[in-house]
Amino acid sequence: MNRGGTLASVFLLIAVALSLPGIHSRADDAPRRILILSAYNYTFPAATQVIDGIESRLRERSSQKLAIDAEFLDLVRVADNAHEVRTATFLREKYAARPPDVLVVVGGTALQFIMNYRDVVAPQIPVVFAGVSQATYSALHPPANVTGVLVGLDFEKTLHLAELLQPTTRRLIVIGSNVTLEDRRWHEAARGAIERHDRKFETTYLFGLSFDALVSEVSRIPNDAIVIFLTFFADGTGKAFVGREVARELVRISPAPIYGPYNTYLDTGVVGGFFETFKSHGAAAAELVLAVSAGKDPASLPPKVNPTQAFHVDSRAMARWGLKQGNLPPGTDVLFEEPSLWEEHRYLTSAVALVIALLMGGVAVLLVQLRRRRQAERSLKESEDRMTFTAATANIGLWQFDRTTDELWTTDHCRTMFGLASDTLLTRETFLAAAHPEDRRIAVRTLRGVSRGHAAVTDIRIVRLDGQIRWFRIRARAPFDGIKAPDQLSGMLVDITDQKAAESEAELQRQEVTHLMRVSALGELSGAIAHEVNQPLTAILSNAQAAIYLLDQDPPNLAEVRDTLRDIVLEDNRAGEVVQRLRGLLKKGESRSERIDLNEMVDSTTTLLRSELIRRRVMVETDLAAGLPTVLGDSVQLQQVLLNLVVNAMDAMASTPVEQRRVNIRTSRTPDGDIAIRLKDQGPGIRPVDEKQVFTPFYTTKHHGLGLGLTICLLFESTAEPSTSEMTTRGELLPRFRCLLASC
Amino acid sequence: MTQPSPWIAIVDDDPPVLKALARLLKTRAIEARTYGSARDFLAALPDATSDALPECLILDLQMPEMNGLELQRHLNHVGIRIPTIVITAHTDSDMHELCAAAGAEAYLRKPLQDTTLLAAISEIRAASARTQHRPPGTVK
Repeated sequence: MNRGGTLASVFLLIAVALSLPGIHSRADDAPRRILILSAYNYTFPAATQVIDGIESRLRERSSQKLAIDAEFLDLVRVADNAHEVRTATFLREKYAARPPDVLVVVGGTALQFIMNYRDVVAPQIPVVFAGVSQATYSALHPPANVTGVLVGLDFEKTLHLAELLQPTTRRLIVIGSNVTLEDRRWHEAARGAIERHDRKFETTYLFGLSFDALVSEVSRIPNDAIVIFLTFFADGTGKAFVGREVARELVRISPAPIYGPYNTYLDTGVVGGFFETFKSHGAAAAELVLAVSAGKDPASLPPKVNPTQAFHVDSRAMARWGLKQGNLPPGTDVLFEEPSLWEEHRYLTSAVALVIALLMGGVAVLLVQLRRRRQAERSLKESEDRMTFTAATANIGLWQFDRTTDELWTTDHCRTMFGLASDTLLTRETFLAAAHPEDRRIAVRTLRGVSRGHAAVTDIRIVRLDGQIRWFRIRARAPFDGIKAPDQLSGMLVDITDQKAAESEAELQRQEVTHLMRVSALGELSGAIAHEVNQPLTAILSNAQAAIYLLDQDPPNLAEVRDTLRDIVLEDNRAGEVVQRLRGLLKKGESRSERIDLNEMVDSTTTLLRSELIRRRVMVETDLAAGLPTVLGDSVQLQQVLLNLVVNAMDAMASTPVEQRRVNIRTSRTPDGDIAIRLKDQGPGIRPVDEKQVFTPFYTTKHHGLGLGLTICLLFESTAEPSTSEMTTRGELLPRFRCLLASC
Repeated sequence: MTQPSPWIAIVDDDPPVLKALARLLKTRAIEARTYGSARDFLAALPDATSDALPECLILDLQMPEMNGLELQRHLNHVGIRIPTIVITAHTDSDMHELCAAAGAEAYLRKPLQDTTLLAAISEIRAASARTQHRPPGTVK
């Protein structure tokens, strides 16, 4: 079968799993010989099924090697003494060399035969019978070593079944042959049961009729009737029949349901009855054979009725007659049920069901996964929306750059910040093109640094399409494994234009303040500064007047005049330098970086303060290291720092005895290569409490101070890039300020 | 004993100023000796004889160590009386008062006009001539 073929592969595994138990075969020298003698010929179904039952049970249960023979004696059809004698002789001759260990006889006629010819066929051999009614057994009076299974002739139960299925029926027809002992026992049983029965039927007995008469009778049965078909070995004319075939014919023509007490009738269209199956009957007989052949005395095993009798019905027949299964007695064996898909294709169905279940399971899993993924996607989307919204609200743009594809992903807000249309394609190039020309190099450097794994923060200007220049702070990061440059860079972008504006505003204000501080400092020093200018002016004026006088002499001393004029030039230059310094300090302007010779700066500062130092009776000692490298810084700011420090020193020594008023200014090179300027005065020092505050704005220890001097120093220091400048105070009695600047 | 020629001392810590003032006085035939600091001047002072002392002292006020006012006071303290012209690049009026109190004949602001300086010197000379009978160096 095609289907079977495909199924085979499907159920290969199952077949393997359900591998049958091994068949034991014990090598026994002498097999147990079983001879089965049937009263019927081999076409008689009931006997054949009984023999089948015997043989399969024996083979199933016996631990010994068996040799089973069966003889169909046909004693029912050929019922004469000569046949019996021939048969007995035949059996004796046939089995002389291989005498049986146990004889099994099937059918009452066979039991009767062996009772008569036992000594001829197999003397003293135990006999087990099957298919013999209680009545026949009782009539034959077999010896004690003959035992077997009695056929239960339970007419009453079959009638009971019919009554349950047809509760309103009053007509009852009983059919049977009238040839054998069996037939007669049935007749008695039927009559007795019907008479004893509570419900009274209108009963017709059709026993011993010719087949044709029977058919004619049955065809006229009203449909509201119960028909019970018992046995039919031969009709009234002596013609032999097989009961099953008769039943089949009667069912075909009968208007009413037919019941029968044999399981051989079941697939003929008979509704059913109360009986044992012939196979189970045979099996019961086989159990006795096994016991006897195992050495048990047959006398200790009295004959019994097979206990496996039950109600059996054919569901097809019930359906045909319109009988309800609901009316069946409990425990009824319902046969030939319309095979359900399950029953017909059990494995295919379970396979298909399994496959469907697996598929459904798979689909369910997929659906769940899909749902979860959708949920995850939805929550991811929500999360992204939230992040984008938050970022946009905070005026932050998010970006991600894939180096492999050169694609730059940004949030929409990012494009808005760049002043780009939302559909503009962003790449590394468009990004760099948007950068301010002066910042492009920084942008490239940043991207390169990030791709090496450095997190970076860079401020660059972006020129928007509308020409507006905006400052952006770009934070970038990239996961770097230390081996390969990462492909993904990501980060954020903040518009810091306002911040930058505020910063430059603050820077302007800071410049303003420091300028004012310088002006005010110079204002304080105006007397000293005036002195510094007045000195060369004094020399110039006197020289000039001397020169005029000299020229008026006759003859004029021209050599002297020349000397004088030279001095005037020198002094004029000197005055010019002072003015220059002042102009630098008074000037407002952006800080710029230039190379500064610190020793020169110290000289210049002390010169500027010379007259003030004199006025305040402060001696300046300088200790300047030779061959110092220049430093990078803003000379004006640095000079202001020095100026402030020296003025502070002078202020600090106001109450120091005049002879001790000394400021020591020292320049040196530190072991680290920095240039240090140290100032040391002889003032009272900075109290530890004040130490932390000396750089705090408006903090002052002076009676008339503003408290801005050191603050400004600090400001300069912190802006004096790229020097690693520092200004420290030491909590010593004598304060020292140390200013470190990187050499260049 | 020969009468020593009269001379004027100039004390200023600024060499170019010293040189220019000395040159200016020389053109007017006034002998000037210059000193870079008060200490130098004191060290060069001869014994306290009238002949050895300068007829006039042109003294810068702002100088390191000992300033003009301190030198004035020191001379007063040791009993040496030299007519003094204080010159200053400063404008502090209190210094003017103090110098006057210490006996300064004149208080001139830098840069100096030659006429003003010469006038101050002439005045001192005239005053000295009027008090020639009195022994120089004594303080009234």
